[in-house]
Formats: sequence, structure tokens, C-alpha cells
Amino acid sequence: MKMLSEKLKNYFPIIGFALVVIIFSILTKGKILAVSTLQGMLATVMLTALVSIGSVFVFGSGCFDMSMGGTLCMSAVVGCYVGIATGSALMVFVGCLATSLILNILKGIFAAYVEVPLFIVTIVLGSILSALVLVLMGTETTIFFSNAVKPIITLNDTQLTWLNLAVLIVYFLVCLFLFNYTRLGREVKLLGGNAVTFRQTGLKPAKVKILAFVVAAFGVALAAFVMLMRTRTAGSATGSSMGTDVMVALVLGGMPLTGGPRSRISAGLVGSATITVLNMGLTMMNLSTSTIQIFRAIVFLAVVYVASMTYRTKLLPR
Amino acid sequence: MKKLIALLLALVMVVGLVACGGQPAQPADPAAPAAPADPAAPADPAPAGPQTDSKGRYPAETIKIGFVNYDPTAEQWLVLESYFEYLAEAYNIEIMASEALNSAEGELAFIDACAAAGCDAIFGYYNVSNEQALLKAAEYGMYYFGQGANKAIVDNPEIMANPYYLGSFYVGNADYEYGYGCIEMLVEAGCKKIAGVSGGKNFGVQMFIDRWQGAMDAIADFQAKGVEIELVYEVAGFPGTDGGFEAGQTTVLGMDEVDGIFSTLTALMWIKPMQDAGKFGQVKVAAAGETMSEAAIGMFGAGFYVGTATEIIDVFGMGIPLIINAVEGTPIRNADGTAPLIDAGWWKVTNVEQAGYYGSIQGGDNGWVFDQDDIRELLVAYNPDVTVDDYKALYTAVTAEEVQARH
Repeated sequence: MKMLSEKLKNYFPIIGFALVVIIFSILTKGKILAVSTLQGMLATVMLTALVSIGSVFVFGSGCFDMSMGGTLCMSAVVGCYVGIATGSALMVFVGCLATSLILNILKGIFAAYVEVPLFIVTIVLGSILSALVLVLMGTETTIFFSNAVKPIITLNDTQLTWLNLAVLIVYFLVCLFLFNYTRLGREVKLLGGNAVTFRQTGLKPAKVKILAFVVAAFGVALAAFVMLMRTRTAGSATGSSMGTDVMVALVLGGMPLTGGPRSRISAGLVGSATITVLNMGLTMMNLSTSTIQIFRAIVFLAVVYVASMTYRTKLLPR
Repeated sequence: MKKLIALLLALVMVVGLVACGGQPAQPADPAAPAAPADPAAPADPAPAGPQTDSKGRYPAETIKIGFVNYDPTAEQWLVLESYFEYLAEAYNIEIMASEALNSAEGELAFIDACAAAGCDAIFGYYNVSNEQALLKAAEYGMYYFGQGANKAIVDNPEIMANPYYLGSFYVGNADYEYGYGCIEMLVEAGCKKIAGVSGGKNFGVQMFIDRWQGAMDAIADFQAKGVEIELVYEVAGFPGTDGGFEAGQTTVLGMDEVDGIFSTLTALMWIKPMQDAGKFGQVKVAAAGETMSEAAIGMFGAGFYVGTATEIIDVFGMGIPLIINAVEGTPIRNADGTAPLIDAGWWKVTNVEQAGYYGSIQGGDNGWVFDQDDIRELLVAYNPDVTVDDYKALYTAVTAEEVQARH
């Protein structure tokens, strides 16, 4: 019986997601499951999921990154500028990827070699990135693909859906493989579980941390790219809520933010889907802003409490 | 087992989303708005008068409107929300307001949610993604109102011809005039050395750029006429965003020669610093875009404000009759079929009596500038001959005398 209960706890994030879907299906009289609604939600799930899935490597290795929103914003703004200058969607992606790689490698180096808590470094970095975006944009508040030297390919909703889907599936599967079936994944979990043991086994934490940030950089770049292809614009507020969204998604997905062996790639996907359905459902119910915030806080607390039961008593003190 | 579940979940998403891809929402044919009805030949001529719901509100079916909001706690939105509630007593509308939106992805996600909730239109009170928001609404078959000052929209002939774009109110050069008018008011109050609050000018926000430019041109014009008036300090940005604004306030209030302040936004944040510096009532203030709230009216009485260029909040409400007409199949368009940009007035308030009266018609004791009866005259169902010119005539008749004559 105890074993069954323990096993059941492992599925709480998925049960939580299913409950949110069922509740809002009833409350919205099934509208939330309409094809067009699912299509709209996919675009939102995509952004959080891509960043969250990559972040599993970062958080899983015990690194607490508070600058994901700033990194996404900078990647999108640089990608947008590159797009405006070249008129090429491919170059937009190159711009996004180069920026996120540079920033994440920088964070990885800090995490590996600087003896300052990473969350402090990344809080500061987030502020610096926001300021840099403002400097980069000068007197512009928002930049648009429509100002490109030549028209950048426009995708309709169906094409965007396929693009989103392809990007998400490929990135998810690659990360799933890397995390569960390669040495990198095992080392990430070991490092997050106990850094002292990790070092004592002769492994090199610096390499693992930097590689974890590199994997996450691809998620950020892909998110920035698909977001740009949809909104065709970027600004200083782009991705502003992403840092919080990712952490909430990971927790809702059942992953401890301290990382370690209970980290799971699926947390990024399940958590992102849960938070998106929750937000969409609450908006569709046309509740007042204050009611939505109270309701969302209660749901988060409940789900996080239930999800935390899967890991809060199972780790040895570190 | 968990891995299997995760993979299954991904598979379920794939299957679900492939279904989505196979059945895309049908984009509306720009040449054929949803079920347009010929006003000259109503589909159901049998009932006498417009059909209403059980509460006697027109139309019979509730019209849901998504409202893109920037700040749900802003004074202007709170007043506008009251106005919508007032209109909803007579008209069958339901407003679905967003939380604070400041990014394009958030704006488009809200429009997705509105479509899912069955909204008929989007009220573009705020806009980040320019024409993308409008096109997204149109893809879902929802009308879009607003953004008359957004050049990416109003300067785009294709957008203006899009049948799902309903147009907006248009204040023309009002922001420039707000700034110019504020300097006139400060000069009339005898100010000679003024500080200016430039708000979002340095961030490239057009509204603030125009207000600032109007003020600078007014100063130049007065100087050319030999009037002693000079800008001695600029306070940039907004309170609370960083320490710069507050530092600027301290600097200005430490300058003995400053006898006036021009602000491109509300100036109520100067009250406390002025009191602390012992300069309340000594340094005169004129602000552009101030809302006639109780606090603002009180500041006229206390000798803080010498004038404000004031937006009329219920001007935004013209979106409601435009949306109702469109949803009911009788959209109001220009003669050439494009979306109308409807002129709207504003108030130059220079004394406490004016402030008190104008405040009273912003949801106060005297109701609203444009009441339910005014709106009824803009609905085709009640006034089949209504045109864009009728909208313009109503929304530019905003002086105290004109409002009193109407009500």
C-alpha cells in the first residue's frame, strides 16, 4: 500500500495537469478544448516549455538561474535586429542562438569558477541585460520585422503550429535523450544531488555546468525565434515574465529547483502545459484581475504542495 | 514508467496538435466581414424596433469585448471601467479585461484567450504588436477598435481597409497642443523659469515626444514675442522606475529660481516633495493628459495646478457603439469603405470651478460626457441614418455648455 502511495506521488504533476484540464473543461463548457483554443495555447506553451526543458539541465545541476527572462529578451532583440538588417529568417535564428550561447556560456563560466552564489550573479545579470536592451534600442520602444530591408517570411497559423510542434518535439526528444541516456545527464543529476560527492569522485563540475548552460541556450534561442516568427516584434518587455514562468512551470512539473536526481525533463513540459491551461482557463472565465490573481495563487500553492510531496522527504541532508 | 508517461504525454500533444494543424481557424475573407447585413434590407423586418434581451438591453445577444489593458490599477482604466458598467445597464455588452500586458506575446495570447471565450471584438486600449494584434483578431473573426495614434495602423492603407478594423477616436495634434497649452497656462500664471517633466520622451514614446515638442515650441514662440520664459531643467522618466526621477525632483525643488513646472504626465507626484520642500503653492504646475480625479480637482483648489490639458475618458467609449453596429452587421465606415478616425475633443482646465464641473461629468454627480442616450443616437438600430459625421459631431462637442445643452 505504501509502495502504491509512493508510486502515485510520482504522478502527481501529471494528475495535477489532468485535473486542471478537467476543471476548466467543465467551467468553460468545453471551450478550452476547442481546436482554435488548443492552437493558441500551443504558442504559449511553446515558449515556456522550450526554456523550461533546457533549464532542467541548469537547475538540475544545482545552478539557480534568475536571468532567463533577460537572456530571452536580449536574444529576441538581437535576433530581431539581425532580421531587420538581413531580411532572413535563418539569420534571425542565428542571431538568437549566438546571443543566447554567449550569454549562457558566460553564466556557465560564472557558475563554474566564481565563488559567488549564482542566483545573485544572475539577478544582477538580468538587470544588466535589461539595461543593455534599452541601450541597444536607443529611442525605440519596440522594433518590428516590418522595418526589414526585405520582407521576412510570414507564416500563417497552420505553418506556425507545425513549426512550433517540430521545434518542441525535436528539442524535447534531444533533451530527453541527453538527460536520461548520456553521461552528461547522469553527471548533471549527480552534481545537483551532492556537489561534494561529485568532486570527490574525480568528476569536473565546471565542464558539466557550462555544458548544462549550453543545452539551455538552445532552448532560449528556439523560444526567441518562434516568438519572433509569431509576434514579428521585440522590445524591452519581451519575455519579461519568463524567469518566473519557468520556475513555476518546473515546480508544477514536479521538479525540485535545487536540482539533483529527482530532476526530470518532463517537468518542463508538464509544468508549462499546466500553467498555460490555468492562465487560459482563468482568462476565459472573465474573472476580475484581482480574483484571477487570488485564484491562481491558491491553485499554485495547492499544486506545489502536492507536487513537493514527491521529493521533500527523500533527500539526505546536504 | 515515468519516462513512458512523459513520452505518452508528448505523443498526446503531438496528436492533438496535428489535429490543430489539420483544422486551422478559417481566416476571415477581408473582403467579406462576418455576416454583414444590408442596413437597407434587414434580415428580419417583422419585429418593431431593435430586439433586446430580457433586461431590455440592446442587442438581444450579449456582445463580448476583450479589452487590452496596460495597467488594471491605472486611474484612467478605473474610470473607464465604471463607464463601461454604466453603458452595460443599457446595452448588452460584457467587457473581458486583460491583466497588465506589456509584451507582444502576452498581447497575442490574450487575443487567443478572447477568441476562445467567444469574444466578438477586441478593444485596443493598449497595443504592443502594432498591426499583428489587429490581424490576429481578424483571423478569429473578431473586430478591432482603437489605436488612432498608432502610425503603423492608421498609415497602412491595407489595415484601414480591413473590414475587421473599426477605426478609432483621433485626437489629431492634441498631444502637441496639450504641451503648447500648458506653457500658455504657466505664462498666464506669471511663471518665468520652469522645469519640465518629459516622461517617456527619451524612450521614444510618441505621445510624450509630441507633448514636449509642443511645450518647447510654445517657449520659443513666447521668447520671440519678448515674454520672459525659460526651461531651466528637465526631469526625465517616471517616478518609481529608478532613482533618477526622484533625484530630479529634489534638484528642481532645490533651485530657487524655478517658479513653474510643466509635466507631460500627471503631476500629482510632486505634491509631497513640494510640501516637504516648503514650496507647495509657490511653484505653479501645469500638466498634460491629467485625469479629472478628485485629487486633481483638489489640487486646483489648493493652488497647486494652474492648468491641465485633460483627456476625456469616456471618449474611449465610442468603441462600444462602433462595435455593436459592426457585430449587428451595420458597420460605420467612411464613404470609401475605410475605417473611420473620429475627431474627439479635450479640455483645457484653468480653474477649480471648471475642474469641478468636468470632474462631475466623468462618472460623478452629473454622470458622463456621453450618456446612454447619446450612445443610442450612434446605433444604427435606433438611428438608421447615423454616419461618421454624427460620431464626429458628438465627440467634439465637449465644452461645459455643449454637454449641458445635450443633457
